[in-house]
Amino acid sequence: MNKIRVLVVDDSAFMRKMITKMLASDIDIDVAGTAMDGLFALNKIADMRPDVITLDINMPRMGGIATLRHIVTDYGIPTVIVSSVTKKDEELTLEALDIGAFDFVTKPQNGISSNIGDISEELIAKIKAACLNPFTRPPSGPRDRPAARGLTRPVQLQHPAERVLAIGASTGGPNALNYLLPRISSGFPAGILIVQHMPAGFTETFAARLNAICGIEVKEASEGDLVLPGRALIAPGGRHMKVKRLPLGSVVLLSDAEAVNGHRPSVDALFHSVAVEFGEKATGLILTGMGNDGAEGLAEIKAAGGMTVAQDEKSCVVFGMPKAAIERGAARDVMTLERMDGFLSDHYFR
Amino acid sequence: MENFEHLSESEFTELRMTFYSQAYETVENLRDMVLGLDACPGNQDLLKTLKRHIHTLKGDSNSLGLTGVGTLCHKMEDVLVRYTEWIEADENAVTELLLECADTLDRLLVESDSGRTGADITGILGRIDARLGTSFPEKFAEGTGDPLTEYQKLHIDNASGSGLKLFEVAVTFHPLCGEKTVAAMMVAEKLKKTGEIIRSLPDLDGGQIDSARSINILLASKADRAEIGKSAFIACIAEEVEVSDYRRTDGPAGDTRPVETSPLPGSAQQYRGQGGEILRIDAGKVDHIMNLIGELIIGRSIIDQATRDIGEGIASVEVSSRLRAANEHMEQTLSALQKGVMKMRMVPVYNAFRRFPKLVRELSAKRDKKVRIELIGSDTELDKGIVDALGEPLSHIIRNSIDHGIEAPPVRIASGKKEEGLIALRAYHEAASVVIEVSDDGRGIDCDKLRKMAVEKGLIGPEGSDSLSVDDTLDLVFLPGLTTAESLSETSGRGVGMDAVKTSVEGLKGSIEVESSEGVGTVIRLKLPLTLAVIKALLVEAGGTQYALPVSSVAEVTRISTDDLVNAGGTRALILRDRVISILSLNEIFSAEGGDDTKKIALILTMGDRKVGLLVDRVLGQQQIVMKNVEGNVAKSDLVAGASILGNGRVVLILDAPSIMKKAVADGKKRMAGA
Repeated sequence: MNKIRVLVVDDSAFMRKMITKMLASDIDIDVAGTAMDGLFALNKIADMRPDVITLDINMPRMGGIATLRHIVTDYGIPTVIVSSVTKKDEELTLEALDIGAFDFVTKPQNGISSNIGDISEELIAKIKAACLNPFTRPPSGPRDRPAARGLTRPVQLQHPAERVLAIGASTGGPNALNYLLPRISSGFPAGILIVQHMPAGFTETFAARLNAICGIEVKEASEGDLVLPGRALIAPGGRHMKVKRLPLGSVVLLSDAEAVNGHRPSVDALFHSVAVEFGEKATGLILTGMGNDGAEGLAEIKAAGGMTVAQDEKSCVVFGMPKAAIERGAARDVMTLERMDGFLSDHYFR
Repeated sequence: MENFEHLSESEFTELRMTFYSQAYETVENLRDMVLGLDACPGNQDLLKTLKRHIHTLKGDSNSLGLTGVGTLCHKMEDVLVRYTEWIEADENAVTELLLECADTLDRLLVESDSGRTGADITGILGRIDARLGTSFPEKFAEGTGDPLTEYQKLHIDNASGSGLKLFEVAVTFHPLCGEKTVAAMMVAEKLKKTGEIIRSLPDLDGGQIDSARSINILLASKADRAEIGKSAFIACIAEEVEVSDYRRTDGPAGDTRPVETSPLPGSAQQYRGQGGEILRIDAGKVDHIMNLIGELIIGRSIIDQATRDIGEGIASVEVSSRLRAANEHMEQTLSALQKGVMKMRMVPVYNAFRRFPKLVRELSAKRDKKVRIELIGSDTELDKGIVDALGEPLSHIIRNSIDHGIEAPPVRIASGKKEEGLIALRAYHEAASVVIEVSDDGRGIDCDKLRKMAVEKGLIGPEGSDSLSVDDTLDLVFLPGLTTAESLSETSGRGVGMDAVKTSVEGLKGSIEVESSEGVGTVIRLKLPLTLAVIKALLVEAGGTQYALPVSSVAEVTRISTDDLVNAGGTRALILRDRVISILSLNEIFSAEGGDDTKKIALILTMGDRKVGLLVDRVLGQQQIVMKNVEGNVAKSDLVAGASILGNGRVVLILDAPSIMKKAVADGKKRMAGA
């Protein structure tokens, strides 16, 4: 097999060197070049045609977003964003996913000496997945932009959610959710709980972005938040989210327990509690992503009598998690992303 | 470095090198950019570039695990967001704050580069927060405690709706209460009989209760306060139970009046001393002095009472012993107070050391050498005046080490040394002094060559050169106009340097010595007094006059007889434990009435390995004295460092030990030359 030729784009010499060294530890990857800003990068891309690009957001002359637009329209080369953890970079990183970046990793936060192994593995895995999965433009289509409204609505007791839709996603998930959630109407009768593998901070930005384009309320979950019909709670990065039924309604509980399947939040952790607390009133939806997080939990929802759906290979950016669930026999149905909103409204408004 | 399968040690080192060289440059640029912005606040491009540089530095340093740098960069970004707004309101403050940030970044980088960690940046972070706070008056604290969760708010609404009243029940654990988690559960169980528990801080099953002093439970109940208090009080669990009405701070029913936060006080306070010199003083030191002053006030009131008793004619043994006790107490307190105030002038030598890692990095790169610097004991404190004055001489010594001491990598490898040379900059206490040592593992000083050069330049006579001891030979480096450098470099090696270093160290009442072993390395040792203002002195008498000498310069005091004195090469010398040392008589120096030399006492002064005996008539004792400069009509002599007034009102001259030693050596040489 030919080595995966990677172009590393970052304005910091230190970062370029560090990323190069991380990637050099893998025999399948060859860092074919580096560039210190977007203009240099575009010149090099034209010459060397890398298989995958790692791209910094914040750079002089031409930043990551502008560069990515060129990469997407002119070359269609899968690109992994290497982002720092700041509000502004989070925004831009999510925008990059919208534009068509394959996925992102965050720059190490607590010193490479302690966790360079994890970060290298994550970056290497994402570069390999990016190389294996043909470049796809993010799904789009007419979205009904709901009228602007306040970020939070008053909490009301009227109808605590009797039913729950639990969604798990990883690589490619942001775009899939960007497609799916705006298509769910505000009168949706179930509470929606989402685990999207994403670092802390990004989930808050992600939720805020979705909230602005969705008819339903989308919120990063806080401890004790109520599970309400027409409301989607996204597990905060770095914390597990579970659901619990209490006398006055259902709430989400957050925990800093050990990572499950290498992830926190973990889809399995959410799905497990959904199966236990909601049984046949639960629906589990497993979307695109690397690995197998959620397969076991989806099987539990199925075993408890709930509905279970996996995204099909064609519409997945990475057909890892749905595949693992399907192979386990956990999915009652397999369908393409574009069919899901229709399925959900049939399922809940039937 | 555990968990390191992805990077080898050398790869990691290379990464670090890349990081630091880029980071130092960034910080340098930051300063220029901040000043540039100050001159032209409207320059949005510059502001953007500045932001990007900080952003990059933040990402890089977080990646390397330098969270201090990362955190500070993050705060600087916060400041820059408000830059335009701030600069219009208050021009200097924001520029100064950013420059201070840049200095702090520099310091953090230097520290971690030289293997130190954990610098305290809470002070500057606090100041930034305070400024950010004052610019955002709309930001208010949320009141007390954790915010309520949605479910808890719902629970409260629900409880109020069904006619329950809300109480906060604070239970302070009894000191003897062991299993607090179990105890809290018991309290909760009892409270549940009176109503519904809405929440508990800490959480009842959160595991933090064992370390808590108390728990705070929000209870919805029909009962009244007394009833609730009674049920929550379990002997041996609760020390105190306090029940109060709960007022919501977040909901519509509550009181939403914002609470204003006061700006965080920094951990340091500023103190403006005489002459406009600013000292940054750790608040702890000031508190300590406040306590001591409290002690003094107590002492004074004891004396006050005793005086009144005496006034009323109650003069008894008891009163006098009370007075004696008070006197002792005040004496101790005053000496502690003196030390405390002295300490306020003390700063870590780090302030002088900080610039050297950068200097070494840059200079060694220029010279194509590999040199690592290690800072040891940089927490050691010294008088600020001394620390401020140390930078120059130390940088001279370090430049010398790089230029002449540390060999080029091929030479080092050929002689079996590590490719990378090491300069260790070390500070430590020794008796009443602080020693600062610069050692390198370079080629050392070539004594033969040094002697030859000194003769060539006519600094010493050719006859004496062969008989010079190693120490005396090494001391030649301090003579003006001498260098062993093979090439003259831009920074050192012009032959001016070590003599200048020596002069400035002596100006600080310190001494300097050099030790070297050919092929192994050189150590230059500066011995400095802790402070210039107060010294511990030995009081002596000669020819009826009292003199003081810093205790730190006197190695021993010995009584001598005529048998101990010999005539060596036309000069008197003293035999001390089989070693011949030159002597000077204090009487002769100040040509006072000569006593009789036979019954004298010799103070053995030391400077490095060299010893000189100083003959005096009597030793009167040790005392802390405050040094005053000698000016005006008092005869000025090189040998006098200053003067002081003793407790009995007498004025004494404070002798300068290094000058006396110099004189002894010079006299010896003169006589030898004459003989």
